[in-house]
Amino acid sequence: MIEVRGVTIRYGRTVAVDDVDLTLPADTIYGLLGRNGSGKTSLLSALACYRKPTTGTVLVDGEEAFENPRIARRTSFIRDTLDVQDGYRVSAAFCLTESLRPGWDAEYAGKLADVLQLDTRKRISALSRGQRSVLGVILGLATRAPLTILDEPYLGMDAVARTLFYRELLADYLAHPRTIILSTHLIEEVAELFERIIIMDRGRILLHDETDALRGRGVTVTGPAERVTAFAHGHTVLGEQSLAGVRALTLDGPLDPDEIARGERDGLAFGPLGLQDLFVHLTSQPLEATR
Amino acid sequence: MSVSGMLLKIFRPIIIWIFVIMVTVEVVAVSGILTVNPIPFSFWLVIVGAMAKYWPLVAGIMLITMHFRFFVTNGFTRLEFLRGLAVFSAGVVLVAPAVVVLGHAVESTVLALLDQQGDGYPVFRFGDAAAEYLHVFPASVAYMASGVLIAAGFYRFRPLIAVPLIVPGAIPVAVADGLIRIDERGTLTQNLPMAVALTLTAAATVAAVIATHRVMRDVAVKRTAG
Amino acid sequence: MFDDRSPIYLQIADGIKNDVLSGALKEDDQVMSTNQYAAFYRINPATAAKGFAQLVDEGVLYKRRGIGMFVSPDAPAKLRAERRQRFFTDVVEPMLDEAKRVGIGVDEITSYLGSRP
Repeated sequence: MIEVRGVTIRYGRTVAVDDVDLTLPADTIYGLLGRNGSGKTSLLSALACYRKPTTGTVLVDGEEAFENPRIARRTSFIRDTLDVQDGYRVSAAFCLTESLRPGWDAEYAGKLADVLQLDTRKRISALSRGQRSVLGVILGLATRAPLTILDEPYLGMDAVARTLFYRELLADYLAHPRTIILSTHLIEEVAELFERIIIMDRGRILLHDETDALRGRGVTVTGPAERVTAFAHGHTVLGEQSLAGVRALTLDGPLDPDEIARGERDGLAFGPLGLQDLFVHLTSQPLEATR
Repeated sequence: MSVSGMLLKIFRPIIIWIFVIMVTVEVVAVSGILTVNPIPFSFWLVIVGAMAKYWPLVAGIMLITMHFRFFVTNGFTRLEFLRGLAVFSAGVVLVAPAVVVLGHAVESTVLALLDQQGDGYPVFRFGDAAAEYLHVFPASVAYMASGVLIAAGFYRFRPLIAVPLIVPGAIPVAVADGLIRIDERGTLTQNLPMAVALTLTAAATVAAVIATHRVMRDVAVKRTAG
Repeated sequence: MFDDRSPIYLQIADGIKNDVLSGALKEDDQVMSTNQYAAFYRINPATAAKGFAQLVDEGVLYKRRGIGMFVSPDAPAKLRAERRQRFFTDVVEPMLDEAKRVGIGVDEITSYLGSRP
């Protein structure tokens, strides 16, 4: 289990992570969502002990994580920039990683390179953005670290490569359950893999819940302006649109079926909100609304 | 694998290459000089004497700028890496002066057999081996310590801060070079009594080691550009 | 396969219930394990497990320790009874509401239904 306690990360006057508390049970796949600059990478850096928080601590299985050799051995954090020398060949990067990582599965790394079509004889400096991402994914998965963190691992990968990656990630997780945290913008295509979703906004945790609980959480209500407004009373409004007396509101639900039935009798139309739309609505609020 | 063992594995090809190049340069250059006249100085002391300082300096810089990140992103703590770096560096600075002395012994012997030692050539004597070693060793240690510390300054701080920090970072080098030297004629120089000179160099090196630890113990692991 | 507009575990449960009703899954048939299900449909195993747990709670499936999950012997009959009941509230009532809105009387509906071959 990972416990983030009061973690704040400042860069000069910029607050990247703002007093975050978070408890993450083990052997779960987490999706970390947030807009650019929301503090995802900074938070992940603190989780992986790449960066010491300005204040606050990270505990793993009850132990202080920073500079803890036992926890360092069990953690792998793959950043979009990769932390291997550009001059090496892919195969050399595999070899070096293998000599430092006792859990490294060379056969599996080879299989992934095959499936994701990465030429292991190439120099890392000669890889395209998508191939670099594939290399990151392989380094992350084949290390089989009990805590595996992948920061936007799909950059530059095409739709086919991403699909193959998600398939491999799930298959390997089923065979070797471990804690995996994956940060992403592409919610819709991976949401089914996440047991839980964490949404960050402006350095804070906006939401941390089971993915399934977010499906159907957002509801749109459309109808005559007055009736829609009356119906929305007492609900959190995430977004609104009006046109010629017709009003559409996005509500933070879920609404109970009786309420919807009542609304429908009143001539209102209801529609469920997809995860992507819910995420957009939640993270596009002005600052005052979320404070 | 231990950090120091892994560093040795990474550096081994580089070390072997440098050694091969040094020996080749020595053989080619000395043969060239000998076609004109007997050699009046030790070519080995010139090139490998310099190498015993500058290679530890370069290695020290590489250890921080290139290898720190690789270890810390692959399951090791900063402190574990710094300890491994210390063991590896100790090996480098113990072996480098020995290579200088042994090479000088070989060069001297071969030139004696060929009767090509010119006037002023520093003839190697077994009794002087320890003194010669002790006149190379402090510089090797100091250059390595300074290299690591200055690189650590650049790793942690912006150039605006790191550049001025070169001055204190270079103290070990300044102390060692200023106090204890060996030249191509085999002249051993110490500007203070040997014990005092060695103690001052040791103190400057220890200060650099402590400063390195302070700078690196909680540094953020930098991203690569691009 | 699944949409993200309602909880997937409910969609899983509904899917299996449909299989039981259609006869694709028979009494005492073994169903996929949660891991097999997760791998097959590419969803998180915890989500799949929740769907199966829901079915066990409702008595559609039963567990045999160490072997797996099976379709309850009375599941088809029970589900059919439930669906028959819900047919009127879920299908017929909304139809009647709509008929009322557009002015179609019950007589008109019954004569339409009676005229169908």
